[in-house]
Amino acid sequence: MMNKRRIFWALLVIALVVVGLGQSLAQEIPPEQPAQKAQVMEDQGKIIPSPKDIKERTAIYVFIGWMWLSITVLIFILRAKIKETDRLYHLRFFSQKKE
Amino acid sequence: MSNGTEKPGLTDWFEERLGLAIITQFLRQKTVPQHKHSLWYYTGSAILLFFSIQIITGFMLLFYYKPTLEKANESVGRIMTEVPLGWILRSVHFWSSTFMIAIVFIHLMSIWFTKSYRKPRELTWMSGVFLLLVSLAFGFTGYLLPWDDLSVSATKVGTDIPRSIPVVGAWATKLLRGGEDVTGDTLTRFFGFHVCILPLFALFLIGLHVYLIQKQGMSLPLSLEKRQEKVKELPFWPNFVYREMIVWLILLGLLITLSISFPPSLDKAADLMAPAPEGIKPEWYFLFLFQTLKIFPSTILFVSGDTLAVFLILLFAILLFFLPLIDNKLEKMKGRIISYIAVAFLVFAVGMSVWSLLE
Repeated sequence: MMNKRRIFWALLVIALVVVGLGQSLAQEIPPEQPAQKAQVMEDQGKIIPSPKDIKERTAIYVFIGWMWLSITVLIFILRAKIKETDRLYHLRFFSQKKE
Repeated sequence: MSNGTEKPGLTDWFEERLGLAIITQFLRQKTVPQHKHSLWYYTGSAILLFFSIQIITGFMLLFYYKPTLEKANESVGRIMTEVPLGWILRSVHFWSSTFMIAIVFIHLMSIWFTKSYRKPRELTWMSGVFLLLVSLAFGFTGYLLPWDDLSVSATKVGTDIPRSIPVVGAWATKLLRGGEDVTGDTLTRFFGFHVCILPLFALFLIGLHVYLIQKQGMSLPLSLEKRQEKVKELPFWPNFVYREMIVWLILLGLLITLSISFPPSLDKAADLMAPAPEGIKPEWYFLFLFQTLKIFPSTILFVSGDTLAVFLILLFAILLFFLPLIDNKLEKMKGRIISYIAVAFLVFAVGMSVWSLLE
């Protein structure tokens, strides 16, 4: 039961990382486009960094969404770990000497 | 079958050479009290997290930044426009410093309110006050580095403040500026402080602070200690560290979201001959000092208002440093008065900052 749960969490994290990497690669701007410079709006000598168009703005929102989803999953895993370590502590698991 | 012939794993290989099990054992034995004020225990590690981010992003910015009068502003502009993800990198550095200083203030106020500086933790508090000053110095020196109109004007105002101190004031201003006025020498000097001298101080002070915390253990709030009841405890490793990880993840998420959504802009390069622009304001953490100096009258009883204000600020800093020695009888009226002063200071600082922002 425990192993199944571990496999499930491991697969979920791997899937998130793979999807996330794939997303970020897909959103990379081809080098031939002068996009990096266009990301910046110049206003009377003032440089204000911002997404250059709707595509880039969407990419940023997707990235932020993906990041918060990953954080939520990691927090869920950490909460499970906390429950487990607290249980072991109350059972005095770590204070027992190994035979 | 594996009696004596089993190959040692990679962990065993490192353990044999480094002996890290002692550290794990120490961390497992270290305990953290659990009570309704436990939330404040998380602020210390959050400061360390943001300090680490500052070091990493600072190193990356260092690869492109040029600390000269002609190139400083241009190189920051290049970081923001040409370097891949450079604008995010600069934004993370900016927001991380904001988070770090905010949490340093929260950490300090939480210790002040819970009176955790009492015996035997006086030196922990004193090293913490030094760390606050170093953090503010990081902010002050870093603010000039983009070398735009606002940063140069704010530095002129900031470095002019010590001038009102009699005898040593003019010398202190000259020392800070590297001359009579804010010039390229000031920029080089501030850069040296920001990337070399202050980090060395910070690392030494953090080392001392963390050592003292390990030596003296986590303190209990005064209200709990008075009851002399047994407080529930948790092992630092791994129980408390897992809880801290949740806080770190949330803070990291907030940092990245704010860095991407609200990146700092960059003004055109400063012209040293041009008049100061209107509405000069320092970073938010200096606003209450700035407003305090601003509202002081020019003379009070034949004494310059600026001189008096600077003296009062210095006196407050000295009293804050020696607080554990002053507030040593916690049960007495003096202890209660000092708690009221803490509340008054917090209200004053927030009020002054809001007033300055609204002006």
